[in-house]
Amino acid sequence: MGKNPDFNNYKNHKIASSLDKILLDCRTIMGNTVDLNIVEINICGADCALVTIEGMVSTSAMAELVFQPLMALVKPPDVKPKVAVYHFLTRKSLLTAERHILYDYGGVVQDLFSGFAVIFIDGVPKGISLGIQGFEKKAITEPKSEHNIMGSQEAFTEVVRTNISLVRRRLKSPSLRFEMHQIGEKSSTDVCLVYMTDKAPHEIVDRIRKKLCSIKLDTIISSGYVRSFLEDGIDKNLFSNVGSTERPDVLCTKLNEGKVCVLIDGTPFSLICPTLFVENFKTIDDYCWNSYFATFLRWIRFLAFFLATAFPGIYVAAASYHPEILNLKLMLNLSASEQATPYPLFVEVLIIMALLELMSEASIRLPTAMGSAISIVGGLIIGDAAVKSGIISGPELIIVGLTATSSFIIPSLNQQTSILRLAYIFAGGAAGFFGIAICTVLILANVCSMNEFDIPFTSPISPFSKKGSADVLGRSSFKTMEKSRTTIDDYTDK
Amino acid sequence: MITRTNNKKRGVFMKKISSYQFIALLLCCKLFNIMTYIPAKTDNGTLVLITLVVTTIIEGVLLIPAIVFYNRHDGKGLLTFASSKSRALGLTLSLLFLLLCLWTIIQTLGDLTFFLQYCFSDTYSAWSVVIVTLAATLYVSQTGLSAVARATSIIVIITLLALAFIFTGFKHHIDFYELNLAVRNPAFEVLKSSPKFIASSKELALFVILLGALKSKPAKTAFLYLGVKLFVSLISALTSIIVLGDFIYLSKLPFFTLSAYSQTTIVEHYEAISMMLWTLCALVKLSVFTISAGHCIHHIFPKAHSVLSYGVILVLAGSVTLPIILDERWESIAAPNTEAIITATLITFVPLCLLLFKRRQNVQEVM
Amino acid sequence: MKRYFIWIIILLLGLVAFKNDSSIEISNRTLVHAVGIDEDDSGCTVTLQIFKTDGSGTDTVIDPSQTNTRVISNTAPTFNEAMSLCENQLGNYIFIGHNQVIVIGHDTDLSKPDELLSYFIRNKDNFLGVKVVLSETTAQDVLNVQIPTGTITMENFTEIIDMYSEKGSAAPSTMVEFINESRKPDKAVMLPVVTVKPEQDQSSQSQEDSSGSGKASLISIDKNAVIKNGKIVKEIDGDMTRCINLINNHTNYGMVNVDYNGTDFGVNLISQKYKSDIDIKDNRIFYNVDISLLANTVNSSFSQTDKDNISRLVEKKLERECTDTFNRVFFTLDCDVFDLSRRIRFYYPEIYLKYKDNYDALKAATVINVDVHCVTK
Repeated sequence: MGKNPDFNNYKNHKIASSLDKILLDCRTIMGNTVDLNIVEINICGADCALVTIEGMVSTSAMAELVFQPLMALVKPPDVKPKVAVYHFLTRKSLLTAERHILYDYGGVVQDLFSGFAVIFIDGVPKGISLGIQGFEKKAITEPKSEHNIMGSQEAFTEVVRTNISLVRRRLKSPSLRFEMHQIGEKSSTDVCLVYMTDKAPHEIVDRIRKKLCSIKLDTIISSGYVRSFLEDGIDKNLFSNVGSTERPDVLCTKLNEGKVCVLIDGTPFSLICPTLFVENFKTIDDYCWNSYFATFLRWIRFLAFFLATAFPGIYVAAASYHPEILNLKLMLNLSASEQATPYPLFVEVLIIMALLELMSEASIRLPTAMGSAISIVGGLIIGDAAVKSGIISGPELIIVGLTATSSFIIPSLNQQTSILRLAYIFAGGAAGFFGIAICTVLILANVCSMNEFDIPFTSPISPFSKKGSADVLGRSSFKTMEKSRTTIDDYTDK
Repeated sequence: MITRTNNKKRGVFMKKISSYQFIALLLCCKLFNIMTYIPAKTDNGTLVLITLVVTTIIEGVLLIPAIVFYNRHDGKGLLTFASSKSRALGLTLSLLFLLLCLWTIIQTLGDLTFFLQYCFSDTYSAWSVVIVTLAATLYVSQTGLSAVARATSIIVIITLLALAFIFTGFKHHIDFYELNLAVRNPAFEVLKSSPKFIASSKELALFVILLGALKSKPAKTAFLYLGVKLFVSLISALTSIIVLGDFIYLSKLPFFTLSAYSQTTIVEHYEAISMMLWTLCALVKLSVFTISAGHCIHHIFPKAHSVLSYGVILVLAGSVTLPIILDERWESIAAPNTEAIITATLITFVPLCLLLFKRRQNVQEVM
Repeated sequence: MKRYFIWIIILLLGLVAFKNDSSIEISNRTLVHAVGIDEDDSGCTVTLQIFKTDGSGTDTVIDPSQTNTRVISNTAPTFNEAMSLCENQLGNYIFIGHNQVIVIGHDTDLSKPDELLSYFIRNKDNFLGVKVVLSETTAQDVLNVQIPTGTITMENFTEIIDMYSEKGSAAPSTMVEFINESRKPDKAVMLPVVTVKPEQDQSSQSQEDSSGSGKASLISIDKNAVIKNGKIVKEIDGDMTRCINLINNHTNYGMVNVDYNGTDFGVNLISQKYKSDIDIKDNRIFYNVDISLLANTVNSSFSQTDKDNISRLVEKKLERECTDTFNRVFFTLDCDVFDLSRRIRFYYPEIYLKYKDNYDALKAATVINVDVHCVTK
């Protein structure tokens, strides 16, 4: 360690003894960045320095919790000043809830950028970091992507510590464990592994931990960066068996089922491993309604998935290749409508699906002020005008309306629905029901081959589990859930 | 015990499948045969029903040696056992089963292509159907037996539900008087047509080849399968007879004709649906026989890559099937009696011989 | 295998479309709702009633108050050739998937119905339950009738046929039944005969409102033809047809007039129970038919005694009429339209096998016994 530390080799470099050297090293590592604040001060005869990052600490908390007690410190007799200050900071005071003793610059940088204030004492080759985070953060708000009516209205935030507290508040069990890892060569993002030690299979926890620690990316900005490393078959599978949620209540139910979750600093979306296919059809509201109504809504979602994915393709196949299966009046209407349109039915459906995807993407990206404009443009102008101008026929609008509405019912499968819809349209348009059958078998084979963590993705339907499928095909009553508690371990394919 | 990807590539069965999944696999294979059954001009409806019952009983008896073998050898596979006892024996049996699997693949592929062309000649051409089907089969097979079994569990439910819809779409004249026994020598006719039904039950060979992949309860699996198969076959045959009557003999495919005749308020005719069901069941049958053939190849060439084996089998099957179909000679290649004898031999005598082999070996060891 | 293999296979499906240059668009299909077949010395005349929308360009393309059909006709030596000429004339592919009715001209030879209808049997689009009827004159006359009720004419036409069948005044006449009946040993079948009648309402208002493209006419089924060996033996009236349908259990409803105390009363009948069997005794075949009916009268002032008397009258009338009809059709016309051969085949298969090629001997030994039980509400 003879070389001076810089931003390439600072992590394991030990802290120097001399305060001037320490401060020089800090400035060198951080390249004299403008947000590095260093305050040099003499406390009871010892030269000290307080290092913080601009905007990361709470100045009022620092003044009250750190400055005041330090300024009031009286050095005991027969004790060296640097020792007195060190002992005061490390043993004889309770300035903040979190306090670390740092030995190398890696820890110093990590803590500084996490909102800690670090105090160095001349002659002491250590740093003392105090947790007085005060950076600006978003308040806890309603979930934006997972709406509900009767459940909690709290969502995760971008700060992992806040998210940890949201989970801990709901699961007051000592078996709930949080393991913090810093991932990302440059970003050192806080990634927290969450599980219940008495529910989650240890093999799954170990595997996920190993996968997280093996990530060698420079930055971890969102959950998507981590997700692709948790799935082995990411380039083989159509669906993902790593789910995500921004709701703490949902996360807690998954933890109780023995699943392992990952919270990532900087994003409100947490990851859940492993997720089953059928979980995409469950919502938290199901457990607030009566079971018969919840069962009805569950089946509506199954139907919605079918309509969103396969219905346009089946329609194209039936109308182009097998019109005899259509009802007589429907066939007559279709025939009359198609007389005036210039394109084949297959092309019409592709056009309308492309329009749907364009509008869907535009509605996400455009500024809120223009939100109402897109509904006018999309609904009235493109939809109605397209029919009146004869580019597409009337029944197509019904199809696309039904498809679009259905796809919005299951937002977690939005990606797959959009792509598989196109696959079915192409298969049906090219080869009729033969193509639909081929497409179905390929998708089924792909989905059924997903076996991450030795848990089949299609559990508990296939392989069939009587206990588990009661809460899939319907919503089982709470009395039943009281008696039989299913965890993910019950679905392991041994 | 689960072993990982290296063994998977070499075509060793990884995970065992449950009894229900096994039944679903066998049932899907059988459903394809049921839906593509061609009656002879001299077939009598009631005798067909009786023959179904008789042949099911015969099949039950034929499967007993395999069941006893499983119970005696703690679920070990037949070919694995044979190979462990004698390399030559293992090779011979593997080759025999491989040929049976290959023949079944050729038949299934040819039947699917032939019927698609026959019923939808303006839509589907032989070569395009063969190429697409083979490519899809290759993909499905390489996902492995447990994935195929899981997918089949879902496909069989879809198929049975669709069949239920088809069979209930008759508000037309149902005539039970079509069930008559106006045949000169009924017992002889039953015996004469039994080989045809046994020959169409090649999925029972799967029971023997894939025995090692069954988790438990071979007897329950076998007899439950036979029961369900009998029920579905009887319902299918009965509905065709009492709804279509003598019209069956004017149409080549009674099930297809029946589905064309079925009508509900939402779906007017079901023949396109029945075509979709054929395709689903055909793909399952092709995939599972391909996996079985790959298993046989593994015992002959242990280091062969599984996907490569599947590819070779499928290309071979396609290159045999396509010329025959294009030459319009598909209907002339059936030989039910021979196939029945071969199927019965492989299903029954092979396990029986291996049982006796073990016993003889034990006696010799004692001596 | 990676995910892109799935996309490759789906793209391969394009190969199917590659050969298939005839992925026929709906707009390239002509929807045929009725087919008429007439045969004479000049050959086979095929008349098609096809869908042609009469919509006025509003949001609803089809105007249900119009007939939305058009009729075309072509003559050629064979049926297939005539259909081909129609297709050429239309410039579109003929689609018979929603064909509702096949109308056969009065003079068409029906001795080989399999061949006559082979186009429909072989065509996978065709619905096997399509109605087959006979025209009193030519099929072309029937198909030219424009009924402005329902989206298309033939929708109402089939409803008319179904209503007559339901009431027992028309024989069951789907294609499958027609072909199956023609394959029995006796080769006798029954088909409804469609008559075209001019519309009764002669007011100028209704004439102005009627479809501009066709005549203002109605169709009815007053008679049913008994056909044997391809030739019409006799056209029987609705009463005799009702009796045949009662014996064969082909009707659920009906109506009969009875004379009670010098006044004629119409009695609505609902079929409740039906039983039939065959007994062979003393070298004679006894065909026993037991029918239970529920009768409704319009007169609510009838006492229980009156109702019982009416029940007896209905029973006697129906028994007499059914027996007379059986004797006239089965013996006099020598036509077995009573399904007897199949019942003998069912109950006595060995006797059926013995006399299959000499069915007349069996017919000669047959005696019918009809028992009607009626309860009047």
